[in-house]
Amino acid sequence: MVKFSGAWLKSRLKFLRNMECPDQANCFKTLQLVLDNEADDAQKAQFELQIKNCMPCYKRYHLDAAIKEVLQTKIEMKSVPDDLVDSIKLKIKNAV
Amino acid sequence: MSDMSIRNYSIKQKEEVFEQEFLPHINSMYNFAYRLTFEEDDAKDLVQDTYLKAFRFIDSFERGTNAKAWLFRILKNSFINDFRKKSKQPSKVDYNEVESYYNSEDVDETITTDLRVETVQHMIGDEVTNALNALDVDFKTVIILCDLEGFTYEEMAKILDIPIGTVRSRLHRARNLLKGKLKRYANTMGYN
Repeated sequence: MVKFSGAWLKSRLKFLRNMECPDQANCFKTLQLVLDNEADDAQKAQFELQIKNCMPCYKRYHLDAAIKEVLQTKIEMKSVPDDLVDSIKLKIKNAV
Repeated sequence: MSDMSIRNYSIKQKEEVFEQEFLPHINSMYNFAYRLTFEEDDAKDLVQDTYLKAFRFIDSFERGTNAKAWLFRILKNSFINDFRKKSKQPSKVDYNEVESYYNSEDVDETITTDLRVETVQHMIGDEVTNALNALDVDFKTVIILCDLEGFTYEEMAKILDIPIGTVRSRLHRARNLLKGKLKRYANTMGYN
């Protein structure tokens, strides 16, 4: 059975109520790098640890990842008009 | 991305480069053009214009390098120079205001939206598309390049002719704005 001190529980509750990351600016910068696969291994490791311990960063990361995913999967892709490629080729042929 | 050196491709080589390295990107190019212009005819013209320019300057493209980024850069420049003026939804962004904002500390502000992951996941394509299209063109562009087309920050910096730091801050700002639009949609639809 793990025991938590009253002071620790109080601080966690206060932190969760406030829902603000104490190092928000830096965390959000790293979050974006991780989200866009631009983070190096050290940044990834640091961020993984961060989201385990910080609810605002955890929530923000999952929301940003969900938005990125819906952008990739739900945005309608327009079909290229049938005549576009032929029209481009013809213009190039005439230009050569 | 090409360097400034000039190659001397034969006609046959030019046609090969065009067919094998340029044309495979026409779907992405057309969709990018459509999202910038909002008009099928304008998107067609913009893509056609881009490919004609690409062929005209093909000697400055090195085979086997990043053709997609090279083409996107031409398309973006063509849009700014030729199409933006007549586009039905021109940019409302004041560049000076935007860039000074990027350089300010306010970039790190949070737009707290209390938008829920489930709400976003339940949105339909039209709602997401409308939210994206409602962004000013410079913000919309970075999201398209990064999230829809999968370009790296370095490639985006070259396509947009801006430093990587500006790519990062513009993307951060664009995502906050998009979140705000999605939140408004969610409220309108009674999702939250």
